[in-house]
Amino acid sequence: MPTATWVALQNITLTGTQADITFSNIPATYRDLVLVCNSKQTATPAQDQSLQFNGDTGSNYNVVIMWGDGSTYDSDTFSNQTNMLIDFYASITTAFSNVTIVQIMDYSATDKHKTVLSRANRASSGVDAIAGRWASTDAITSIKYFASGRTLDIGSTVALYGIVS
Amino acid sequence: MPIPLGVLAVAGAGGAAGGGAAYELLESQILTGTQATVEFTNLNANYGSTYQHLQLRITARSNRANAYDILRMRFNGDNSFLYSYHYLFGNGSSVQSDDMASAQEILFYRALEGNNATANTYGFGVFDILDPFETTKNTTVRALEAYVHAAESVVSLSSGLYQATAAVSSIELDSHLSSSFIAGSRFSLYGMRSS
Repeated sequence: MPTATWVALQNITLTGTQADITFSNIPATYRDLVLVCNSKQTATPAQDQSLQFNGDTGSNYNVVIMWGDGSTYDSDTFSNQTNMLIDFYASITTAFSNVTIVQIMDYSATDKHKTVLSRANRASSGVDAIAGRWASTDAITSIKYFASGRTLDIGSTVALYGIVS
Repeated sequence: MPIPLGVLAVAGAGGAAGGGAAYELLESQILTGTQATVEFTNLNANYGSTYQHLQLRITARSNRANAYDILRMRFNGDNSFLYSYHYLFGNGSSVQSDDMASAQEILFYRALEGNNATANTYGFGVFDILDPFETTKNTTVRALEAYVHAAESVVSLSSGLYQATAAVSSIELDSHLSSSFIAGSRFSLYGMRSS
């Protein structure tokens, strides 16, 4: 018997400026999580979006990035970082022009490092495909979304969904 | 309405005109021991009249004595030369692409880790299978897949074609390099309803 699967957990839209958007007390009920991010920041220059899980600011985040900016394409890796990049060329600006969708796999498993697939797009800058790993077997119970050194602007929206398995 | 990875997955909270859930879990296999093949069977009989598209969400690791492995996908037990695939991948230093036509399977080179990869890491990916039950269309697949471990990290956009119009009744997944999936590997199949 099919099971209703895609569950809206929380949708946060900022009514004031804020340094970050944090989802807390995420239940271990689901198999995967999805973040849909549509945000802007209060000041230039553009900044990359990042995640941290469970308040972990240690050097435990690793990503590989494939990007194209309209004339050039390349790939980069960043290992042992203190946060997980979820865009590279599709960074956010002072206008709504970015959409980033992040798949967080097996977020509640305690026998796996947590892995992330991000597809980020900003037509005026570039397009990214990113895979990340948080080197922890802890279940994810909180997610902090932010743009390092920037302030998220009013109207920024991040929605969190749970996928049953 | 959120649209993860592009065109396929839709919000289960309902669509236009107050419709019901559109994206549903069909089956999930979470391995408790080593297993050479994962199969989803009787798909057309069980789901063909209800669902338009399928999505596979996978985290997988094999017992191959290497850091990587290659995931193989076939439909309907068919190993004839009816498959094609492309992939575009970034490995941290360059972006490359390759393809294969008239193949006996669709291969995903970045979705399956071997047993020498960093402990507790798995390859992972989301695979959209379009119109598998339509008998006037070939079946197509697209994926975003990756592995990220200490030895190597690669992210890949991949596409596949099964050049047959027969409704898909089964999906077979295994290692192209003759190893087996290990315990903890997870294969979840979702359906997206037709209107």
